[in-house]
Amino acid sequence: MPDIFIRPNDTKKDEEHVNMFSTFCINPIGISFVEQEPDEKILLFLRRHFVTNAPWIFITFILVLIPVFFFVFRLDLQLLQTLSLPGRFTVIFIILYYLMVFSYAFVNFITWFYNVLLVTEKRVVDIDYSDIVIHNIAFTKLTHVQEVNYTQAGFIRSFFNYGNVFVQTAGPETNLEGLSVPQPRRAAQIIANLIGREAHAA
Amino acid sequence: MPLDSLSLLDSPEVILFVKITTLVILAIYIIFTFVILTQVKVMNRIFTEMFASTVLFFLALGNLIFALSLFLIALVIL
Repeated sequence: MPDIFIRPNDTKKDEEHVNMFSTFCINPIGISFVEQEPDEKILLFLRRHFVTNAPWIFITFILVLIPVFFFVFRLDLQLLQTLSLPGRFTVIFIILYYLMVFSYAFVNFITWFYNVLLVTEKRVVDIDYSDIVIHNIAFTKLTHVQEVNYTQAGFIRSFFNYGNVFVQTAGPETNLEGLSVPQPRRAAQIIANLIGREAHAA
Repeated sequence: MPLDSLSLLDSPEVILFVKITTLVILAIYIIFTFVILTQVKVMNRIFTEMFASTVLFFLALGNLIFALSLFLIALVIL
């Protein structure tokens, strides 16, 4: 009996769709970077482990709760009594306070989100973003990569399996690094395989 | 001396001062949110993640719109 439907070879089965909270993806799809060539495929996507966001998430949580705590327990501070702020001022101050808390969380999130290390078929791309207005992009060709190291020290890092990956380049080119990335040994090994060398712990 | 007599916001001059200070803080905050929006746009050009980049842009834009709205509300009600 002839086949009615033959499923084509699923060539995309190894590809992973990157989402907002992805930190480690092999053959990622759905992302692109500036100056990416049309035929340049991204092989590895790395971002800081999500657990590294815990401090600012905790601070945001506390900041959100502070006004609620005052309202629930009806705490009257001596200063507020003395100032006897009119209600309209209080409303504006509280909305402004929550907007600032939102901005604090948002800036921390985008600082995490836009710090990525990409490995393509041709090069390694390190995108750094910090302090709201500082961004730095470094490219290096895979042929210029001399050595790949990784470090993973400490209980927290071992427990959550994250660490630093260092890509050392030849000559005056900038060395690239992926800080606090998940599965550093595997990431270093993937880069090392691409350049035909062995990755090793620093 | 009772606390009521220490009330700082009884005089119109002090209320005007607090209002102007609040508006200045809000204006600075608007500039800050505008800088964030600009940076998100720049970073989205450098690194694009289809869905997330759009979400972040609209969050930054929403933050700016909220800040502008709050400034206008403060201008009217304070």
